[in-house]
Amino acid sequence: MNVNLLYADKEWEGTKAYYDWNSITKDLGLDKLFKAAEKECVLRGTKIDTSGEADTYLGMAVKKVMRIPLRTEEEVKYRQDIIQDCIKKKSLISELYEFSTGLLEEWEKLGRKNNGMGVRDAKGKLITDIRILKLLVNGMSKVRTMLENSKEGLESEGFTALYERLVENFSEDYDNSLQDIIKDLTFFSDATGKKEERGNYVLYHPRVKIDCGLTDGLKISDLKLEHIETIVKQYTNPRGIIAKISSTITSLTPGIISLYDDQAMMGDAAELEYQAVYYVYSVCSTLLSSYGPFFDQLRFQTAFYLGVINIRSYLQCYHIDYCFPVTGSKGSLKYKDLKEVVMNLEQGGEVVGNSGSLDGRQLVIITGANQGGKSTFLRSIGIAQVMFQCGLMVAAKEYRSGLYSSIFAHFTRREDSAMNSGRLDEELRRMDQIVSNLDENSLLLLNESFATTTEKEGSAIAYDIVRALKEQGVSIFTVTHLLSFAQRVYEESKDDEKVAFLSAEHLEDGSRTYRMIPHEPEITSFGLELYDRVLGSH
Amino acid sequence: MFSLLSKTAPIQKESESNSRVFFLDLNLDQILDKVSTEWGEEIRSLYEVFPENRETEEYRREIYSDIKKDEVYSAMMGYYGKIKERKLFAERGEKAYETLQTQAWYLREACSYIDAMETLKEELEKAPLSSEGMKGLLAFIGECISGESYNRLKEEALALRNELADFRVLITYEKERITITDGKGSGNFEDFLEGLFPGHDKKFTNPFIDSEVFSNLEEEIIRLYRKKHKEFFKRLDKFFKNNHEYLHEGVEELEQEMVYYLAYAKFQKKMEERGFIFCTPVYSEEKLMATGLYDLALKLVNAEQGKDVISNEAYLGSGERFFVLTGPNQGGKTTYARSLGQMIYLGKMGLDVPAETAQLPYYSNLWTHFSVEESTESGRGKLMDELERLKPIMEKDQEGAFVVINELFTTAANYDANIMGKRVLEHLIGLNCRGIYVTHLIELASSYPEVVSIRANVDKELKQTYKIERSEAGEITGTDRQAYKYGLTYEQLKERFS
Repeated sequence: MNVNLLYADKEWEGTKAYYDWNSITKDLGLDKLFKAAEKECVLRGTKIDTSGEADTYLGMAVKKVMRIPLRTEEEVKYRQDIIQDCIKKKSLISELYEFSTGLLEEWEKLGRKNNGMGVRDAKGKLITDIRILKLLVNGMSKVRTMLENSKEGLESEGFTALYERLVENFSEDYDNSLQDIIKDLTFFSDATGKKEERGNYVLYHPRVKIDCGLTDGLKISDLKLEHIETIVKQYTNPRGIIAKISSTITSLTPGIISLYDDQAMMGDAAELEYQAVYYVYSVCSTLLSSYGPFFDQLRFQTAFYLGVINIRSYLQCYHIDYCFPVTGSKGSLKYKDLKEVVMNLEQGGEVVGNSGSLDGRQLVIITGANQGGKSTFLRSIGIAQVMFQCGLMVAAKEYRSGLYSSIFAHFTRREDSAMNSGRLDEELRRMDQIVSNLDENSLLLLNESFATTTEKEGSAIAYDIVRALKEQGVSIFTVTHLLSFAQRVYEESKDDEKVAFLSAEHLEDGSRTYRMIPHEPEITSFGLELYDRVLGSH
Repeated sequence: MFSLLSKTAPIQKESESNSRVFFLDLNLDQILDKVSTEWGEEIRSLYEVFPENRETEEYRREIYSDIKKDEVYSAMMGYYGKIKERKLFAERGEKAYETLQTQAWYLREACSYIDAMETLKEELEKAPLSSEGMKGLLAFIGECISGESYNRLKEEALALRNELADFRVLITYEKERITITDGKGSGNFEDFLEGLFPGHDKKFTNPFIDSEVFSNLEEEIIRLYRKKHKEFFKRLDKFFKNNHEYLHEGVEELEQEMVYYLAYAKFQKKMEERGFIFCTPVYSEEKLMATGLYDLALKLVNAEQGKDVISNEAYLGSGERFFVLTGPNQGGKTTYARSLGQMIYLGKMGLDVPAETAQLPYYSNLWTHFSVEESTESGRGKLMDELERLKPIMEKDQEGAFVVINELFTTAANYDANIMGKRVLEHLIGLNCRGIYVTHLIELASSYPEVVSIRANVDKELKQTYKIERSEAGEITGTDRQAYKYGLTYEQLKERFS
């Protein structure tokens, strides 16, 4: 049984991740997003309330799922549709999540991790195993009912197919048969009698019939289970005289052995009983290998969607416009009011958005003033792309882009920009690993790469790499201060439609708008302008 | 007497095995541990004696090639399984407390023998046998299972067994009682389970199967049964008394010889599944040639740690006698010498060798001389020890042997060591021996025309490649730009993408 809410045709496996997910998470600041997934953000009047209890499992689920990029339009659409359903039926997704979480906790209590080993004897373990089986079978019943009850209005392929699969693979008939089997084993799994009202006891007695042959060494062999059943008996007193008499009488008939007072024979009977129950259980236990993972998957996959719904609640509270992106061809990037969502969550939705079209551009070189919003812009593209390739909404009024086979981030972080050869070594080593793992459909985000050496040498390295990768077909966004590099590319690609140059916009008075506009590489970082403005022509 | 191991004479167990240090030197003991585990200790000695001549090597090699064929292998493994089964039944019969049980076990044992022999014959007849040895085996089995006494045994055994197999009882267990009745169940419940879980492979475990004695319940059942089927027990008693020695002479010895091949074939198949490569060596008049040769013992160890080993080539042309292997420490020299020795040993035993291809001449014997761990003995003591150990290798009767020498005379002065080393080489070349001499004495590499110099290589950064080649190690080129070091110059990148 598959859940298949993350992919139409498979369960969550966690393979084919981004090559260096840790760098992407760190460089794009995605942890903030995962934090947002952990609880709901509620707007009460004008007040934002995030006092709910965080569920770290939700953040973890979003993080893990985001680690594996989607690579086709269908895959993206599949998740987008499910998210739309979740927005409509928030109660369903949280019920499914809560229920599967509860069930797994219950299972945990019954000793899932240690598989019941070493804790009890074989009989005790089998009793537990039967209880687990019951838990899972009932759980399947419940999940089917939940979907049954809210199937009106569910439009996504994911939910519809899940419901259909449940109806097909876990039909009511099947359900009833399994419940019957579990009931037949009650004498074993629930052997102690129950005291009913008015002093009446209910006892569960076995009736087990076994068909066997005689072979090797005249030992019994080839055992076949002919019948197994729990007989419910009511007594006023289970140890009373009537119980005793009924067994004594039968022992007088030929071919009938009374077990009363015959310890040895009772031992043999107990062995047979155990094996009979174990046999029935083991046949059913194939369900465990299907239902067990089903609930693990269900919990994980619903956690992801619940996390996404929580992220959405933050976007709403902070009045950040979002949209479900449109999948375009490779390099067809177009965005309207695209915001760097992490920074917006941190600063209460105040950070400006960018609009523009980079349709057909394979290499985008971003230069310009410090503190002008270059890195923010680069991150906004990276975050949007990662969210998009996970099926999520993105923080923009419109967003269209292609799907990349992988995304690589090569950011020089402030703390490691100290100029020494060890740093450059480290940067080159990372780049070497990236080169070994990328292909022509990859997206590479470079932020201040090779600034750990001299401008001249850094430019030479950057030029070589960018040129070779561009020829290979790799899409590259680079924020750089390496002006000889930027200018050399600019000179050589004046007629190349695949290359774009952006700069942080600054107004005539030198103030910044934090918007990116098409602009040739800046020779200075506007320190001089500022100098002139303040000091005149001294 | 027919034998699978020797064409001419019965194999002499443990004749020289004690003097064979090469098992330790070549780490063959590690390989044989893996091969013979689960097959019993006694089988080990069969791997310790070389076939007496080239014809016997070929005789075995052909048998082994037959046994590797899927049909033959599964037929032989099936047979082996039944032997084990038969022995188990015999053991149980001996241990049984009740005569009745001993007789029943005996019946089972005889049936198992009949089944094993007939099945093997039937399957081998269908299999494509090409070796003289396997054809001989088939003929031998044919002899065992013909004749009047065998036919009588078979007829009576099968009749008794069929009768026993038809008998069924129903045991009904309720809280206070068990009811036993003669008869057969409806199978409805099993059908119901099968309907819910199609194709499930679970079995109702018999709780009494592991105990040799009757359980109380079984005693009751037998009591019921004896009353009803007196005739059956009379016949069983008669069968037991009439057929005490049902095994044909020589069968048990042959079973051991089969294991010699089966154990290695099973080991080889298992390793092949894990990506190990083996090949059947081809006989060659004079040239020794191997590609993809590796140290099997090392690979077994490394595979457990997820590491691989380097494979190498070996070529010793006509007129060439000795490899002299030099090169840096830890460069894979000993490993190379071992892999050569292992190939020679396994090839001589008629088994497949750890290489992609191998051509092997016939060598009269295999000798190794490895320098022992540094001991506290004085230099002279160690040298004495080395010379003592060299003595048997230098004997005249060792003409045409293959000799693996790993570092001789390390405690002697270089000048002396050179002279002694040359003498050893000269002597062995004179005896028409082949072999490999691992040494740090570079002069030995060019000492005689029959000597082939091979070296352990290093790469550009002076790191060991573990590649052993005739060519000299290459020049080391420096890097001045850091980008170059990481393969990130434009030219390198273009190269990487091409």
